Amino acid sequence: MNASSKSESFLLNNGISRFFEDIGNNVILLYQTLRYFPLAPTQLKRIVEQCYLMGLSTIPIVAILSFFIGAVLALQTGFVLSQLGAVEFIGAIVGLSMCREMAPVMVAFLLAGRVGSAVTAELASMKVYSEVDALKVMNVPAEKILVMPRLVAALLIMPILNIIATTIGWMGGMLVSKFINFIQLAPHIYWRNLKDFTVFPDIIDGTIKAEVFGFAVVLIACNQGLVTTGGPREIGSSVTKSVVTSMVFILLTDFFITRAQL
Amino acid sequence: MSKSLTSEQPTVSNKDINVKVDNVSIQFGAQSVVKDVSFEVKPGEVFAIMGASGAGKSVLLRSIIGLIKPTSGKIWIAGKDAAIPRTHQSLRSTIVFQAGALFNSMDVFDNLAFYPREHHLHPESKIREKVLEVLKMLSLQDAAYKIPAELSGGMRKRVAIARALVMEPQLLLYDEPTSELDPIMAATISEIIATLRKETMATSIVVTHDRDLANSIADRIALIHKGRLLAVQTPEELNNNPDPIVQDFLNPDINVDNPRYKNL
Ligand SMILES: Nc1ncnc2c1ncn2[C@@H]1O[C@H](COP(=O)(O)OP(=O)(O)OP(=O)(O)O)[C@@H](O)[C@H]1O
Ligand SMILES: [Mg+2]
Repeated sequence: MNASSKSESFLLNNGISRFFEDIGNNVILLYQTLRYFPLAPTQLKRIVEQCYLMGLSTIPIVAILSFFIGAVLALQTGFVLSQLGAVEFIGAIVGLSMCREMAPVMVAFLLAGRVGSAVTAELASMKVYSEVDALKVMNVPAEKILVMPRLVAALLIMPILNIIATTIGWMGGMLVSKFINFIQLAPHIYWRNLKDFTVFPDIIDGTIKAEVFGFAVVLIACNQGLVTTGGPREIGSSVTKSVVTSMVFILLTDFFITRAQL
Repeated sequence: MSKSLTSEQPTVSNKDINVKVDNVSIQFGAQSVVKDVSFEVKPGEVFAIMGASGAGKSVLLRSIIGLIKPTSGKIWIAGKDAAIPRTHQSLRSTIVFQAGALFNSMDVFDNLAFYPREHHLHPESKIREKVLEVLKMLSLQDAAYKIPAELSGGMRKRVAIARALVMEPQLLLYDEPTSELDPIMAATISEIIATLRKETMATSIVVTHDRDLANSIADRIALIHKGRLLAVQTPEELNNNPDPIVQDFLNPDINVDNPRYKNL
């Protein structure tokens, strides 16, 4: 019994110390990369390439999923509101929750799954096969050509993804409100109600969330890639860890950002 | 823009580039890989390091280029600590990795052009000219637009050497440059290393198992045995060294009736 409690506390210590080590590594990488942000104009080609890759891999799935999220939001709230005789408020509910909450979180999750995983795999493979060492020997810092362009690209692409997700979600809500038999809300009433309740600061709040999440997802992905040592198996587990860490980060910080914004 | 962010031109001249390895020991966990090694490589010298597989040669080379910090002892390049990145910015040093370490997502041409492009050494047309010239030196013209995954082992090795040569290095470390090459190509590599010294006074440290290379172009040879330095001598002196370990390493006889692996 003694032995088992000992090993448990060892596991706990190990887990906790590794948690703080992870945070520390991310902060160090951020600090080392921030120095190269002024050089962004010299890395324009890489930034554009990353924007293109990130946009290309996420826009289709973002469009499809945000449509269904808007639709199901309208469906759920419409069911209750129709019993209360207040279906016109679907516009307010879908409008606000899409732009303040659903769109940023969903886009960030998809970014973690599609872009974060790919970034971690690529950088981890470069690390494991000594390409990062070769960069170091050539005095070309990985932070400058690998990390910084990806972070800048995330900052550029997230507002766009977020706006796409928000508007398509709104449209999904509109279509459901119009065509589902127990709701049957005229589109112009839906939009008027949405506009009355969703104001520009709401869009800004949503965009801020998207920026924070997108930046964190890519930072975590780069860091997890660059700390990888070993072989193919470690590359795989780094990818998993990168995605899981990103998702946990998104959900935890989402609460605190929301609290600060309201 | 702060100075450390700009790509610096070398400030140390070739005739000052010596490498001083000073009581260096390197450990990985409990394993002691390099044990108290000291030697000095003079400016413009071709210095060969030989020794059995696993003796710690690659680890030593990586610590000279600044990728591994010695557990104890120091390495000085032109009087500056090799473990500090700044040292390697003040002169142009590079290494040909044992496994190549090519950029797998770029084709051969872009691998070679990477360093001069990143540091804006020359205009693109001049870079192109130089890359093609080096590719020709190593008979790689036909492979210019292949990616590393499409190359043979020996080709990859040659690309790694070519990539280092394009950097116009002042200090060049080679980790087994001829290990996967045919005898003619190995001879070509030896000639290139010797020519580089003659033309640019570059300092070379060559880890090798190739006795022809070491005997024909090395000024001195260091023999490493299980992490320890056994001898640093000219090829002639080493060949006449009476130490049985040295002799066995340089001229192992193959005895089918009494194989070594049975005497372990
Ligand atoms: N990163 C590392 N972590 C742990 N041990 C290592 C590491 N790198 C090398 N070693 C160990 O150090 C020892 C020496 O390795 P090294 O690569 O220097 O050998 P070598 O002399 O270059 O051999 P070869 O001629 O086969 O290339 C080996 O036992 C190896 O297992
Ligand atoms: Mg080796």
